[in-house]
Amino acid sequence: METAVLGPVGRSARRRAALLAVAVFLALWQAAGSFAGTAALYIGSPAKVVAAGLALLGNGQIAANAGITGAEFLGGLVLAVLVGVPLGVALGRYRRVRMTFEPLVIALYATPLVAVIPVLDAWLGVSGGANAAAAFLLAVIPVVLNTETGIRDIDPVWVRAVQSFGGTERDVFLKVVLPGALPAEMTGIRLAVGRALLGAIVGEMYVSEAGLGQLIMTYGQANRTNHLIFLVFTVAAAGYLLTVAARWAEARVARWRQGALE
Amino acid sequence: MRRGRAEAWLYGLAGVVGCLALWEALAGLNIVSPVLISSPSLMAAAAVQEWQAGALPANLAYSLGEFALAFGGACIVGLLAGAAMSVMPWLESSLDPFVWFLYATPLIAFYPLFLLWFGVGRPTVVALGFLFAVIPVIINTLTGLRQADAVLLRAARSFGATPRDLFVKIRVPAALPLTLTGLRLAVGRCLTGIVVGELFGGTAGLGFAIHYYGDQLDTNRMFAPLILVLLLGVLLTQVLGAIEERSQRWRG
Repeated sequence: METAVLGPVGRSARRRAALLAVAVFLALWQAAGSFAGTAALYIGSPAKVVAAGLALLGNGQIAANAGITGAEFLGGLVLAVLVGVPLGVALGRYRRVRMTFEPLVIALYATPLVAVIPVLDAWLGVSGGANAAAAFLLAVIPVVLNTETGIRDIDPVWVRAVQSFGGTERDVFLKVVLPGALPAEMTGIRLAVGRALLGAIVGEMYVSEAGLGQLIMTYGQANRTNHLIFLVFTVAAAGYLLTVAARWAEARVARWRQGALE
Repeated sequence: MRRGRAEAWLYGLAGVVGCLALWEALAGLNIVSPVLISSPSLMAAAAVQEWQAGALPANLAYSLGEFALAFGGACIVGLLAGAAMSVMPWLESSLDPFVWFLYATPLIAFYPLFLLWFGVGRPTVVALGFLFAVIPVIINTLTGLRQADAVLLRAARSFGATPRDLFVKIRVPAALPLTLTGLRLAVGRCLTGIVVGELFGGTAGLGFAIHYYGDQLDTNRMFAPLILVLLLGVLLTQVLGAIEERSQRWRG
């Protein structure tokens, strides 16, 4: 699932083709939206999407709701790291714990966990807390599994080296296990970022009083297509930027570790 | 090896049974109200009742039908699109921004748009499942087809292989493992799309049942379809995982 490798065409030719394709897409969309008459309700048009976006930005609706979604996302993600890393360490370091709980965690990774959102709403009430809980639940699993993998991949020679120089279990943990597992943990966190955002947005869309997801549903139900499309792009841009940031952090940690090893 | 395997099974089973026992105890001793968390025994009773009344099998069949349409469509479109993009660089460059845009987006945001286009019920739900599933199929098929061994390709070419030979005999077998991984990832995502679609605006199906009983705070009846959805995810992913492992063994 890594970034596609460059094909026979060069990088700049690729970029030009991509830009051209996006431009053609926007032009066709604008043309269709302009000549569709009442059917424009279904597709909007780029110019009107921009106008709707400026209005939403101007009246502060985006800022206020993005803040709420951001808080739910961040709360869920931070909690997922705080809970997921110790669980992953326990699973990675202790064989019996792993055999007992790993099948459950792996099974949950393959399931549509969003199905529990109505349960969370029943437990926590329709609230930002329930949405943060949804973000947490979706995000915690890749953190656990990747931390576990990172811990298991640590060369036992290092652990023995620390021990033979008189290191305690505490030293082993702080000096070998935790730093050694960091790159894999970062991969887990990167995967968790996208899932946490999905959890928060789905939670808000299901039932909520605020947030970008709730705003999307409100404008969708009112058939305000241009506003809706701008909001979809906003969420998409947020997802994209967060993924890029997480990838950058992941690559940095991997590089730092490579440097520390050499 | 065999003993290790039995041990792993035993511990895994203990984990599941332990969790269920804890759940039953919490509810049974009223530490947490069974109204909120139900309990495995209450839930099983409700599930048996719903199954006999025919609601559960009907909803299961409905969701599976939607899944088959969405997943089948995603396989056909994803494999063809990935293959087309791998042989036509201009197409790949042009579609690249769109694919990555969809990959990074929480796709659920498209739900209101689909609702507007396709109406309430099955078509919107299937479209959502399709959209969730098709992206990893495209990306993995494309990446797989591209990563064929350059030495093998050169060797085949120097023995007079045509571009068609290269594609069918070298690129496709080389791409198989990654493509199957894409299909496996697509299973979970497809189910997510379908369940979310049903939760929001279904007229039938397991997600709809979760939503319906959730609204009535009938946790016993709500957990039965919920557990069934989770089991479905595990089961379908296991099937794809087994096929994936087979193909890897076949390839050596």
